[in-house]
Amino acid sequence: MNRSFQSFPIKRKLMAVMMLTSSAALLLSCVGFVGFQLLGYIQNEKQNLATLGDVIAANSTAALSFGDKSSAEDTLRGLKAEPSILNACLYGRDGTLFATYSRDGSDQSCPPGIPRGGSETSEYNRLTLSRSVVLNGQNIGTLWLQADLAPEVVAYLKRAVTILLCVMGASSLAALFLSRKLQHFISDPILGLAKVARVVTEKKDYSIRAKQQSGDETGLLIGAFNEMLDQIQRRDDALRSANDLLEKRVQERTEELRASEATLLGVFRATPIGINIMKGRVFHTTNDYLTETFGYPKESIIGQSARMLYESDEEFNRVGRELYGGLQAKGVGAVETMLRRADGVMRNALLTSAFLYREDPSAGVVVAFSDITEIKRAETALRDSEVRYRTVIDNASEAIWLMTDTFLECNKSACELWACNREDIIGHSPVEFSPPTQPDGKSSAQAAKERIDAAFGGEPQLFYWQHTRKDGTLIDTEISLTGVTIGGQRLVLAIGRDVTERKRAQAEMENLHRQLLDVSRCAGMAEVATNVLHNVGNVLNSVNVSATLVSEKIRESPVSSLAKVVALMRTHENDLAAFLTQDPKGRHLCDYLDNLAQYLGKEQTGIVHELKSLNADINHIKEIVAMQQNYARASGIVDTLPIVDLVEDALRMNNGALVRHQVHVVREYIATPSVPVDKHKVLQILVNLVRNAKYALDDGGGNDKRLTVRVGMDGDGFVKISIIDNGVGIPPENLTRVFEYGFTTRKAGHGFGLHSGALAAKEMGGSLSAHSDGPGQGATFTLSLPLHQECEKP
Amino acid sequence: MLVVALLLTVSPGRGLAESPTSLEYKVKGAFLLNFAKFTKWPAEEFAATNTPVTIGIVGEDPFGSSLDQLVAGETIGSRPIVVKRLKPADDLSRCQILFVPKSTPVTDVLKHLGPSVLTVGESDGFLDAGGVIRLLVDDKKVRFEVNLDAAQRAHLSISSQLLKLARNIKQTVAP
Repeated sequence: MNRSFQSFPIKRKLMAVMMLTSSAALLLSCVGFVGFQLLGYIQNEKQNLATLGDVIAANSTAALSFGDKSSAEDTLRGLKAEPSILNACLYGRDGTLFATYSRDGSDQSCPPGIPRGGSETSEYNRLTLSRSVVLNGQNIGTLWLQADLAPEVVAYLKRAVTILLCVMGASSLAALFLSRKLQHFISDPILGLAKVARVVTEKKDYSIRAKQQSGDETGLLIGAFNEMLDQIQRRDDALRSANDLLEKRVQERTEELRASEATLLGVFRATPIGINIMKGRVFHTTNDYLTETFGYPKESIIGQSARMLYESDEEFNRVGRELYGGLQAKGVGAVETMLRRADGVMRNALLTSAFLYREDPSAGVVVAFSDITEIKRAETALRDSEVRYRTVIDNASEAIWLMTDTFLECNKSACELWACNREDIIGHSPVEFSPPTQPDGKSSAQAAKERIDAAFGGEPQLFYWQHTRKDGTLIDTEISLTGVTIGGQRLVLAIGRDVTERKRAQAEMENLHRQLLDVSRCAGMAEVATNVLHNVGNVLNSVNVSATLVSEKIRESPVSSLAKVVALMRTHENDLAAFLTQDPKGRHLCDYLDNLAQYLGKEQTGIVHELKSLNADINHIKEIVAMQQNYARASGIVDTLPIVDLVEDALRMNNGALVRHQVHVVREYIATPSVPVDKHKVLQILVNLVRNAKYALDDGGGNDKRLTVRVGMDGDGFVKISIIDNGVGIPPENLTRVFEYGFTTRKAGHGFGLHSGALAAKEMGGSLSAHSDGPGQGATFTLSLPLHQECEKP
Repeated sequence: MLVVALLLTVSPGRGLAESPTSLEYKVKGAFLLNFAKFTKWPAEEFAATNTPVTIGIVGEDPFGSSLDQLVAGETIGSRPIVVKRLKPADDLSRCQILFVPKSTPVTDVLKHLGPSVLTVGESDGFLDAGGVIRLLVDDKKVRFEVNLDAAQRAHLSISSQLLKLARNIKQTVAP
């Protein structure tokens, strides 16, 4: 049965399961329902019996009390109306049977003795009940009832089974119908899946997929099945590709191995180390090194003893001992020796040896030769170089050391600096060689740390430091610290110099400098005096010219002619009238005198003019002198003046010279505000510049001598006065020198004017500059003066 | 307890053998007690819940000491039972049950009686004279008759159970 059920198609199985389940559930529930009803019915019967018992007992009290048996039996007979009551018995107080009732009329149905009062017992299909008959709180008797349930129950069960069968038949039909309809939801996807599985199994085609229709477990199953197919397909592909790859890899690997073997062979041949397999110190196999480096043809080596490479038997034996002696114990041997090249030259060589197979010494020994002649040479060179460097460092006059926070290395000078041995220094802290505080009051330890840290950080340090020697004397040093990296370690390279002497010399020098300053101040006074004299000299030139002019004019004055006229008139003292009217000479005399008077008048005017000019010059001299006195008192008189007036004054002072030398003056003035200036200083500068220009024009020798004076402003709050000439010009090499003290191009010049001018301009917060395009191109001197004078009083 | 046992022995078929009179009155005494149990008096008849129920015997006492023995210890609810021997001239209305023996003239007694007294007699015209219950002996058994009209007049309620046992019920108005 079970097996045959297992082989049912899933459709039938599903239907059977559904039908069985629903039938079983229905049956159980029906049985439960019927049982429940039955129990209820019995309970109900019990209840009825109890009620009946109570009524009969109550109705029997009087009959019992009065001992009226017939009345009691009447009462019991009333039970006929209840068909289920089989027997009824009424007992007296003492348990004697008082009255009975029996449906079938028999008498023996009452139990003997008094049944327990109030109890109800149910046995099989009978229900019994005992009730005490109570009157006035006293038990006066007992009633016993027996009912038969059987006919009622049988009738009830018959009805119930009939209904149950009908309901089950109807529900089975409904279940059949529904399960037929509904089983598709479950069986269809499974059948579909089974079909796909069959196809997959038969055709081995893993690309087929079952259709997933629902999201329940069947859906999940189909999903998982599909996923499984995916994986199988992927694995199939992967397996195939892995197989391909593996074959390819094997092929590649074979190639690689072949290549590697070739490479190894190439390496063996070409390695710049002689690799030889020796058996009993006889060459068995060798690479190309010995041939190439030592010049021995291969065929001349193989089978030969290594003795051929050594100079002597002693060396050959020594090498043998060294090379093979340690082989057994350590597994390797190494020795340095000299080997003979084929051309007879001896070369340094390093030989190392190892068993070809450690477990089989008889297989031979691998001996590697390398020519280390060059390395030896380099080593020697390095050693020499190091000695040289050390000599240089040790003989350096500066103390040189390397440190971190303690000294690592130092030279001889460092030992001398601190007057101690190298051992006293290495490993010690620089603080041990310093007083507790530095002259500036800082703690030595703190200051040293800051300096060293800064040097570590890549900032080179240069500073003065006070050190303590071993004997306790203080020395001043100049230290420079630089961060360096040696072999990956960050260190500080320090260079120190004892500057105790220099410090003292410096102090002396400062003293000397102070003295020099005093001297130079005096020299400055002298310079000023020279300046004044120069300016006075310039004005004196004008004075001299004026005086000469006046004296020439006076010398050439026709005053003597007047004396002659007087003498002539004296000779004609008596006949003066006649002489004046008749004599031809006399007749001309009046005209002559008239001319003379006119001439003398003109002459007088000229002289007066010159004398005025003379007077102005002398006034200028007075002013210069007064200015010098002011200067000597170290305070210039500052006036706010229109700059153009000063320029005009300067031109006027040079007027005579300019006219004499036919210099054409061009004025290009732009209106400027009044400027606070020391009038005399500016005037001196300008006079000097105009005069220099005049000289330059003279030296240029051209016919068109032009002097341009330009006054203007620049954007920076400066007034600019430019004196421009088209004279001889300044060669470029001299342009920077024109303001030097003592520089001049003129024979009579003393090289002081421009120098003092530049100084004065600077003193006033301005500047004096020169410009020239070269010889013959003229020159421009520009005086810049600030519009607002800064208070620059000494 | 003893009384009930006695009562039950005085059953049909047993006869009133050795001492007919004393046995007869023992049964009648038990009847008196049972009447008290199946009758309800108006509530105002009793002053308290334990006010005794009084059984009065007017005239000559036929019970002897048997009635006293019978009621000793008996209660109706919480009420004890008291037996009083009275003369016709006494105030008979104080009793709840008044037994009128054959020897006492009935009309004199009933004439002066107030309500709420259950009168029990033996003479033939007792019910016609206005008595409530008449005891009689029939076929050697004690039986009784009830005048329901008289009971209603006296405001007494007699249990239907008791009425069911009565030989005869006198009632003018149909119930």
